[in-house]
Amino acid sequence: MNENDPYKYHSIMVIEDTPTDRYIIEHYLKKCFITSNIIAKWSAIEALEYLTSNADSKENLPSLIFLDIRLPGMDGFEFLEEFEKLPPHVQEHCPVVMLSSSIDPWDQERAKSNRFVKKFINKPLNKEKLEDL
Amino acid sequence: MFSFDFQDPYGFLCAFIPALFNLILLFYILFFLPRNRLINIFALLTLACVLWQTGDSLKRIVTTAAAADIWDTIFSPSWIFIGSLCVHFTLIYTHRIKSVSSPFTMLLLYAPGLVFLSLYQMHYYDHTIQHFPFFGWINFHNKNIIDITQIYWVTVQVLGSLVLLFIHTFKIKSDKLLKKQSYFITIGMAIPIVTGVVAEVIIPTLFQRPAIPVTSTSMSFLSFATVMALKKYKLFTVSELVNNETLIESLPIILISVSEEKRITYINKTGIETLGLTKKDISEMNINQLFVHSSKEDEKKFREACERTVRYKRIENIESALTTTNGKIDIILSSAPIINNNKVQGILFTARDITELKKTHELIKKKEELLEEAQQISHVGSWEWNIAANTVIWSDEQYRIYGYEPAEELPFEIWSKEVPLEEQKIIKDIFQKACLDYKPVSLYHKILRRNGGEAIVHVHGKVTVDKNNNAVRITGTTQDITELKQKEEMLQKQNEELQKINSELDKFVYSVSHDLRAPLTSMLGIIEITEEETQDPLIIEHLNLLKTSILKLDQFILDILNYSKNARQEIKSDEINFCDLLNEVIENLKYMNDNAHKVDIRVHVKNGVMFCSDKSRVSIILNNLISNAIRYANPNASNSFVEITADIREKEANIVVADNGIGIDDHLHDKIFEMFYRVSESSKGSGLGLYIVKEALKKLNGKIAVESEKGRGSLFKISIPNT
Repeated sequence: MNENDPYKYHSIMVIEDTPTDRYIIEHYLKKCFITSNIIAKWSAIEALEYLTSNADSKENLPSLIFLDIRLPGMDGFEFLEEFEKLPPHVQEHCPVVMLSSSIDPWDQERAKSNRFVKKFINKPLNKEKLEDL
Repeated sequence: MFSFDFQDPYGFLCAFIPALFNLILLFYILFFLPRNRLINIFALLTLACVLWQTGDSLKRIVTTAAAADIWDTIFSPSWIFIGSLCVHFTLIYTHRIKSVSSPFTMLLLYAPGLVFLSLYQMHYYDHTIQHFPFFGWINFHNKNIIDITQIYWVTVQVLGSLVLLFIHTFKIKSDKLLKKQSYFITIGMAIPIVTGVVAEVIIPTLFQRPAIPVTSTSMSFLSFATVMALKKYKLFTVSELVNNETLIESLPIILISVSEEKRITYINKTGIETLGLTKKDISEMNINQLFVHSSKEDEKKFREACERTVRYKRIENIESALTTTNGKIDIILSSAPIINNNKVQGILFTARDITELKKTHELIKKKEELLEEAQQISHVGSWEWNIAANTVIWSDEQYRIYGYEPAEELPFEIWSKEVPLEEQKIIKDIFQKACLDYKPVSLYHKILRRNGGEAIVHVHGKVTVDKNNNAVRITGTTQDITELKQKEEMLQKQNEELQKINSELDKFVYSVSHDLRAPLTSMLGIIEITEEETQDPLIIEHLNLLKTSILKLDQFILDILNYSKNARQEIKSDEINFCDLLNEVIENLKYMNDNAHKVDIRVHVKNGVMFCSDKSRVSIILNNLISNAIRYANPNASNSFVEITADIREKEANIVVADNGIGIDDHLHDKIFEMFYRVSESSKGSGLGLYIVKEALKKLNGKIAVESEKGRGSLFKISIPNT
């Protein structure tokens, strides 16, 4: 990572199927200097494929994953189950931030109790919510 | 007469000492021996001995012959009757006089003695009394023919008694005790009789000299030996004490004999008492007057029984109800022919009062019927398995459950005939175990009814053990629960279906609310981005309006979600930390309170007690109350606030949410909790919030109260029980 690089993270994977939401996320990530390198994935399966195929090249692995709960095909929690099966160095390298419009306490609890989930953020995303990342 | 000479006391002592001895015996007999005819006669015999010996002793020591004669005359009855008493005693002892002694026998026995006594007392002939050294005054009896006859009469009597006793003794074969006793008495009687006859009859007759007066003395042998025999060999058995007549009189059954023309010839005490009669009533009565039958049928039955008894000479048994002065009684009656010379001379009736028995019997019968009816109504059969005999007894309903017709005792295997094979083994195992551990049995099994169809039964059993702790029988019930089971199964099915629908509905509500809300949050995100990008006040104002509408729609969706959650979710109990929960709620409401007019949220929690309730519902309640306080803050107030005070106690949590908002009119206080009620068109909510609060509190058994004044603010007080 470059000394002069103003971005907090080298790269961030965004797993989000809604274009608007993805636009908002990308907007704030760049604006708040979180990262400039966004690996956008439309679905959890796609994301898993990427992680699996890039497991050996650290350079390509995201240093943070933004994960939506409601996704087509495989939802966020199912993704986390599959994530469990990935090599440990991948898991360590890529902490997960869950992002959802769900205010269901059970969803929150479930997300927070997962050892890979670093944070749970309620949509819509804004500056404040990104501050303590 | 009363002047006595003790110069020569031997004769006196010879008689007086035995007299005293016999007197003691007499008292002993009267006070210690049981009383019957034998003992009475024996006591009389002993009394005669005492008198004879006393008379002798007094007579011997007087000074003159005249005085001796007076004493002799006074006490003469004792020796004159001694023979008769001996015979009387012997006759009773040897059972020659049975129950009643006939007057003729008594006359024959005592009349001659009376004649002799009268003649002797009247001095019909001279009494010869002479004085002898050593003995004193002594009688001579061999002068007058009457006197001699009298002596021989006594002699014959006593010898006769002796012979009877000998015969009796030798006849006894089987009873050793009786034989020994009889020996004792025979020997006791033989000594005085032989000495008496030899000394007072044979010697004087052969040698023409005065009798040697030793008989009275030797009479003591008899009394002593007899008492010894009767006492030592305990011959007074019950049969000796009770005669047949007393026996029949006191029999606890009614005994009546009637003559050929049905005239009553005998009725025993029980009969008189049971039929409520007096002795007077029954004389001249015939049997039809005695027995007043309660019904015509009974009367006919009785008449026919009597006829058959006479005609066929056989015993007939009938049951009948009689009307007596004691009221109605039930009897069981036997009539037996009295046959003499091959001809029926009369009828012997024996009857037993069975009134009480019949009452009890009827009561039992009634109870049995009741039980049977109850079993039929409730479809419960009962049974008893006798383990040793391996038999079962079934109640009628038990038969019906198995599809049988009620019948007699059954072999034990009957139960298994209609039970599916695979269930038989399980049932057998359960019962075998119960026979060992004596624990109650409770099981369900299927029955393939013999008359078609299937039944499911619930069986209960109780083990009874004997004193050696062996299981002897199992008693139990069999309840037909086929209908119940069918209903239960249907209910179960419906319940499962309902649960499925419910969970589907939950999923549906969740998905819908999520999918509805997702675009809203996206819109909010875009608005926020746009707000940051522009300075144009008009655009900012438009964006704010957009935002308000979106939030309102979002709130509506959330309310519907909360409503459905509260209505259908099961009540859980989790530990609640009110500080954390309130912070969480307030944090989630932050977006609402982010505008220019900020409401100050103050929280006071009095903690210290562990509190449990349904966290999700409590959260919904608090969320609604606090969001209302923010939503309806007074825009004109300079220091809008909402103050939340939570007082957590052992029994309940009391929470007060107070604000200085716009307040609610008094008359609307009841309406605000109604579904979709909104105070005015300016109300920003969905009209569901307080309704949900009320419903959620209902589920938690909590309470809510409102105090509010328009323009001053509102105060909501809720209490939630600790579970």
